[in-house]
Amino acid sequence: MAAKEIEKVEKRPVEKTEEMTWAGNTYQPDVDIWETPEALMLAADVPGVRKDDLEIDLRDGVLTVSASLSLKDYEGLRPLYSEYNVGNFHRRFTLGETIDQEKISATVDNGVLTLTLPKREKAMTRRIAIA
Amino acid sequence: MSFFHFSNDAFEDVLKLQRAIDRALGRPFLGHDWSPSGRGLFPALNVFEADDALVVKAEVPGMAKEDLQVEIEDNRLLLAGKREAASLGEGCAYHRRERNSGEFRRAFRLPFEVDREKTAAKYQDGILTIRLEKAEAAKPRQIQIVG
Repeated sequence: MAAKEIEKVEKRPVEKTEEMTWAGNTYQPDVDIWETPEALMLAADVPGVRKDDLEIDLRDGVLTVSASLSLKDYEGLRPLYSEYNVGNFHRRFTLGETIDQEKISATVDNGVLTLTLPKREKAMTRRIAIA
Repeated sequence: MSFFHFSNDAFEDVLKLQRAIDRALGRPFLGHDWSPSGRGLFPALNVFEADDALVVKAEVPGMAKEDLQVEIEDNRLLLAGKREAASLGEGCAYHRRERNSGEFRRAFRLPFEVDREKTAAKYQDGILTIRLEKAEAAKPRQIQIVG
C-alpha cells in the first residue's frame, strides 16, 4: 500500500468574534483530542512555540490555549517568497468531562503541545461498617 | 522593503513581520513563479534573504529529526519526511482528529548554485530552517576595469 501523503491545509485564522489583546494574525492550531480511562488528552500543532510562549487557562469548563509568536528567529531576514504567514495561536474548548484542575500537565515537544487533563476521581464508594 | 529587525515595540514587530510576509505572498520568486503547482504542496515554505544566503523555513511540527531529509541536487532543494500517526491504547477513543500524518516529498529549484559545504539545516520547535549560501562562483563580484 502506498504511504499516505500529507496534504497541505491552509492555516485557519481565528474569527474575530472576541476582542484580541494582541497584534496581527492569530491562527487556530490543529488539534487531536482523545480520551483515555484516566484523562482527556489534547495535542495541538503550534510550530515555533516554546514553553514560555504558552498560556493555558481552564475555568468554568472552558479551556483556552494561547501562544505568542516568537520573533527571535526572524531577526535580520527579509521575506522574498511566501506560502504561509505566521502569528499567534489561540483556541478555546468546552470540556464535558470533569477535570481535576490541580493535576493538569503540559509539555511542548518539536512544536506540539500535549496537554494531559486528568479526570476527577469519582466520589469514592464508602463502606459503612454495621455495628 | 527592509530586513526585519527588532524595535522596542514587540506589538509593532509582530505586525511588521506579518505585513512583510503578506507582501511576499503570491509574489513570483526571482522569476520563478511556483504557483499553482508549488503553492498547494506540503510543507508550505517561506523563503527569506539574509546577507549572502537564502533561508528557507517550513512548519513541520511533531516530526522526529531522523524522519526529516534535506538534500541538494544540482540547484534543487529536496525536502522529505514523515509524521507518524499516534496509536491509541486500549480503552482510548478520539473525540477530534485534525492533525495530519503521512509522508511528504517536495523539491524546488533554487535561483543560484549552492555551496553545499556551507548549507545548514536545523529542526527546532517544529520548524525546519535551511540556510543556503551561494557558491563562490555564483556570488556577485566587482570586476576591476583596467585601461
